[in-house]
Order: sequence, then C-alpha cells, then structure tokens
Amino acid sequence: MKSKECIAMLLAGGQGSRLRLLTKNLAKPAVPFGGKYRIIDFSLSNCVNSGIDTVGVLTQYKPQVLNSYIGIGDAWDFHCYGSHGGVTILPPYEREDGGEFYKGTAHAIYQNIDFIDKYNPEYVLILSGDHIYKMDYSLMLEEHKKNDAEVTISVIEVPWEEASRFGIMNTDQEGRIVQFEEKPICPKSNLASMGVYIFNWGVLKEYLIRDAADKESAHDFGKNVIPRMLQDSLKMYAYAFQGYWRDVGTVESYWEASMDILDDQGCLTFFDNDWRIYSAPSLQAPHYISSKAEIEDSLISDGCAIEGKVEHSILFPGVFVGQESLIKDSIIMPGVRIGRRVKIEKAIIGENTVVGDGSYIGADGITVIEDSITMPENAQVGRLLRLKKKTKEEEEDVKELLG
Amino acid sequence: MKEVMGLIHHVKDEKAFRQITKNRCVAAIPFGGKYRLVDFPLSNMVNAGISNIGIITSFNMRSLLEHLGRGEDWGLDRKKDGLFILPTASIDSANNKRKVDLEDFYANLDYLEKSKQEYVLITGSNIVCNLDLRKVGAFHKKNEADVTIVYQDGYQFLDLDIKRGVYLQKDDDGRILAIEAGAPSPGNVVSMDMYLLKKSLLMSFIEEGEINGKWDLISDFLTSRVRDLRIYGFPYQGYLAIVNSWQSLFKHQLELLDSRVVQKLFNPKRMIYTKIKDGPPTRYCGGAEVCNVLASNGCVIEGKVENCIMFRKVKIGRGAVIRNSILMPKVEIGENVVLDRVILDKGVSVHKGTKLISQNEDPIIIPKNIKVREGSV
Repeated sequence: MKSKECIAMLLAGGQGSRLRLLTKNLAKPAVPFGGKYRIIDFSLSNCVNSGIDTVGVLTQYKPQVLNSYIGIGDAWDFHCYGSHGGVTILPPYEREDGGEFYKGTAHAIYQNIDFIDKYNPEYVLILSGDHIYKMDYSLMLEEHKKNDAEVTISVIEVPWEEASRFGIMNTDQEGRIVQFEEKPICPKSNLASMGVYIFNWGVLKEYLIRDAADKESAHDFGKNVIPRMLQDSLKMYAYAFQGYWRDVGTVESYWEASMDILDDQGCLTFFDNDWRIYSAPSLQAPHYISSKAEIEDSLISDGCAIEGKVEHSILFPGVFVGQESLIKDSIIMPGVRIGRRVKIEKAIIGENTVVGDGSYIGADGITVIEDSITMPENAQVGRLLRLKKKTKEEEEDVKELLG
Repeated sequence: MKEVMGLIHHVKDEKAFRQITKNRCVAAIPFGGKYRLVDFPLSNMVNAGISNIGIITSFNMRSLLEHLGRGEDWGLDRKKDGLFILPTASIDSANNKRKVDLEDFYANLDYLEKSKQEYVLITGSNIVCNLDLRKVGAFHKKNEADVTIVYQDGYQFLDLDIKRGVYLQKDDDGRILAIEAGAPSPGNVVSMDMYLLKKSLLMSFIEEGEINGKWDLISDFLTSRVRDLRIYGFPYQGYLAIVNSWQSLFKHQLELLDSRVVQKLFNPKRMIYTKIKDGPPTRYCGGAEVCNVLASNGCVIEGKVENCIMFRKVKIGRGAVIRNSILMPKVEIGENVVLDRVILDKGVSVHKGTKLISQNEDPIIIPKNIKVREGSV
C-alpha cells in the first residue's frame, strides 16, 4: 500500500463540560453551530480543502450522534477514497491484554499507533474538533518542511489581556519555540496555541511510547508531550495563523462565535465558495416566512416556518415561530417549536424543545434551555438560569422550574 | 410494495413550457424552492417501498441525468434493482400526442422483462402530490382490479390546460365507465396520470402495439376496454398540481405560499427527496423585508420580497422590491430592481435599477443565464 505524506488525527472525545446543557447528550464536536453545521464540520472541511484525505476521528464521550453524523464521510467527500484513506472513527477498544478508555489526548493517539502506521505517513496533523476557523493546513505543512522542523504548532495572536487564558508559546526571532506556558499569569508573549500540531510521525511515535510508559504523566499533549519535547530541544516551530479562530468551549464563547456569523464585516462567512464548510444537509423543505413575520439580520434554515419576529438570531432547520413572538439575539436549535406571544432574548434553545405560548426566556446573561423538553405556557425562565455568574445547581433549577 | 416496480413516463409536450424547457425536459423543471418535478413521483414511489424505478427521458435529458445521478438521494443506488434511465423511442416528440407512450416502454423492453416485480405503477413526471401509494396497492387488490387509475374529483385546470387533461366517469363503486382525453367529464373527475396494473397486462398491450402500431395506453387501450377490463379509480384528496404549461407552473408554485399547502405537500411522514445541495442557511440582512415567502438555503436578502418562491443561492440587493415572482437557483437581483410576476430561470442576473412588471396575469419569463438590463426585455 502506498504511503500518505500527511494524515490527520482529530480529537473528538471530549465532553466539553463547560458547554453545560449543550453537551448533555452529545460530544462537543457534534454540537450544532451556525444554523446548519456541527462544530466538527470546520476541522473536517479544512482537511478536505487542504488536500488531506485521511482522517482518524477519536471518539469517547457520548459518540452516537457524532458517529451517525460522520457516517462514511460522504458529506465531506471522504467516501471517495475507499479503503485507502477517508474518515475512520476510532473509539477506544480492547486488546489481548485488556482495554482502556483514552486517558488523555496523547494516550488516545498512542492507542491508535497501528492505525497511523498502516498509512506510514511522514507527518501527522493533530487537530481538536472544537474550534471554529478556516485554515489551510497545507501552508502550515509547507512551513514545517521549510523549517526542517520536527514539530510545528499553530499559534494565533490573542489580545494581551486575554493571553493568560491560553497556552502561550514563547518563540525566538526565527519562530522557534523556546518555552511553552499553560495559562501563564504574566504572559511573555501573546501567541496562543490553537491546538493544531504537525509532528514528524517517527518522532511523535517515540514520544508517545515513552509517555505511555510514564506512570506520572497525564498523557496530555499540552501538559506532558510538548513540554517533554521542549526539554529535549527538538526543532519546534510556531506557525502564525492569520484569520478568524475561536475556541467554543464555553457557553459564552459559543454564543459570541455564533453572533460573529451575523456580523456584516464578514470575519466568519459561510458564503465563501473558495473555502466551503461542508455538512450533512437536512432534507427538509424550503423555509416559509408568513405575511405576519418580520425577519432582520438573521440566518434561517430549511424547514423553518416563521410567523413571528426574528431579530439578530440563528434558526436551525425545522424551527417553528408562532405569531406575535419575538426572538432576539438567540440561537434556536433544530426542531424547536415556539408558540405564540413568546419572547426570547439572548438564549440558546436546545433541539426539539417546545416553548409554550406566552413564555418569556431571557436574562442579563445567556440562558440555555436543554433539549427535548416541553415547557408549560406562560413560563418565565431566565433569572435562575443566568450563566454569567454561574452556579452548580442550575441544571437542577431548570428541571425544578419546568417540572 | 416490493412486488411493484415504478415507471415514470415522459411528458411529451415540452413546447407548453416555452423557454423553460430549452435546457431541460419536463421532469427536470425546478419546482417549489428546491425540487424538480420528477422528485414528487420518485419520492412517492420510494416512500411506498418501491425500489425498482425506470424513468423515460426525452432527448433533452442532460439536466435530468445530472439531477438523478445514480439515484443516491432517493436511496436508489443499490445492488439489487434501483434507478434506471430509459431513453425515449420518440425522436419527434413535438408531434407525438400520445398520453402514455407504450413505444417508449417497448424500446426498453429488456429492462421490463428482466424486472422481477409482478405489478407496474406508471406515472407522469409532472404530477405534484404527496400520496401514500401503499393505499393504492391495497385498493387495487381489494377490488381485484385489472387497472387502478388515481384521480381527483373536481380538480381545476387553468382554462388553457383543460384540453391537456384526461377525464374519467365512474360508478358509485369506483369502477371506471369511461375515459376521455381532452373533454371534461361531468363532475370534473381528473385522472392523475397514475396507473397500477400487472406487468403481464402491460406486456400484452406492448405486444399488441408491436403488431398494430398503436401505442397510447389511454386512447388505444384503456378507453376502448373499460367494459372488458376491471378498471377502478382511486380517489386522492390531498394537494395536487398537474403542471402542464408554463402558466400552470407559475400558478401552482405560488400556491405553495399557503402554509396549509406546504404542510400537506411536505408531510414529514412522507418526505420529498431531492438532489442534496450543501449550502449555508439563508441570510436576511438588516434592510430585508420579507412577507409570504418560501425560500431555500444559501440566499442573501437585502431588499423587499413579497409572495415569492426563492430557490437556493438567490441574491437580492438593497432597495429591490420583488413581488409575485419565482426566482430559480443563483438568480442575482441588483439594487433598486422592481419585479412583479416574473419567472427568472437559473442564473439570471438583473442589473440594478431595472423594472420588470407583467402587464397581465401571465408572468414574464427570463430564460436561463440571461443578463437583464433596463430596456433589454
């Protein structure tokens, strides 16, 4: 079998607990985003658009939705590569000497050394499935080769005041990484790691085997493998990415990135034919806007029927909005039914939930309503569910409040 | 309905659609914001579990073939049975007046012979409805019918389309007493161009046709044999559009702006499938005003749109006012354009400031890929 130059391994097993109710029933990469996509569409589309035809998707936390969504990868043309490439879902599995769950990001790749070896690649691209960005990985690979690097880590400039929230790369003038600091209190640089790595496969494999044998290690790329490589003075370079990139790991960042799509400046657009984001499309009928509806500054998907007012919001497929209702600054997931005289402000409504007539949802922060619940008429939700200063008991509150 | 195979016959009268059929056959005419006419009969068959379907095409078939592919969007790309393209026998389709042309079937006889199903369901490609064909099958068996014809009571054609209809007379038990093309029956019982019969019966018709050169299923066989054969009518009461002219194409698409019609036709229990196109959601910008609109994905709307059907990737510029129109895929409308009662075919662009208003009931048709400027139409 001929070898591949570069294959991608996409880490999609995380729970994403900071997304709270949004990841109650599915893994973070499967969370719907942008009116018809799921978060993982961005990484998968970037792979296809960058000419990477072999991707392993590592799953662990509640993988059913993700598994059936990815399928044979036909939405991204991955089915065209037959048995030599395409997309492969890689869950933890049992071996002769017993099996284990993935204990960390590095351990997940370690468990799949055989999968990677099958393609005998020169380089391995490690990706996370929870970022919103459009990136040409082939340019990064070119730079990796030009630098004759063993490791290249993609970085993005973040505002200095936010730098202490990220893993920060300190580099020399040639872009060679001299130090890596995870969430530094006093950052020396504002180059944040994007969680996109290119490794020479031979080098990575050696470090993964060593890391797996290390009883003290948390088996994490950021915490263990990368620092170890730096200690050993490998040739590690930073690749500065220019463009839009957001980690959507929290409800706030998820909501903000969603609202970025509605920004006319076009920092994140889906209407770009040169770098399309692919997804498995819905099969619903076109959407219907009634004569009583008003739509402003919004994204509306197939299968919606709108009789109320929608302002600066994103509606996924199959949403119904009743008469005299107002949806503002909100994200409405697939199949939600919103009754009449409902007001929803700055909220995320989970898939297939029914909002009864006359309800009010909204507060200072971002309100999240979980999926598949039926809310009574005239429900008032918001105050208790405020996520700005969050409390542990919120999920209980929802249940209590909604009976 | 594993024991039934489907045959979608080809509507010969392409001229009735003017420039809309210049680049496509009737089956491939865009309809309803994201579909093509053939999607409705195909989906009805697939939803009833029919998995062996042949489609007769005209010579103007490129667009249809592109749409159908290997049938994957209807779940018909299978090892056993699936979707079969059957080229027409009729070179001169413009002068072919047959309602259901058995010569087309004769030209593809080997396909019919090798198909294992006991029954054949024949339907036209221009019948827009959402019908549970399993019920037609059960009805056929219950009545021990030789032929079952699906009909609608009181269906109203546009005046100019009355001559294109096939009309039935029936008794109280649903037995068909007379079949007449072109002349309305009392009570206006309109055939929906759907026929269920045993394949062996169809084959015997074709054998006769081969001998005497008579090939029209309606006028050469069924009409004259209503007494010899047990022909029954199955009543269909749901939404129906028989699209047989450019005027009816316009009228019926605008009917979809009634939400009750949409709910009936796009019944989630029996979905209408079409070729999947992957586009972003539709973007309504700050200045957009939309009212009574059926719109597909990937549009960008900045102007005012009222009573319109928008297919995917339509762009409407600022200050534009578009009323009572059908905008097919990739239509681009410049700023301050005013349109009323216009069918804009695929890829048409209208230069800013242009005004196009139909002076009568009939719409203006702008053919595919035309660039319209003020004064050019």
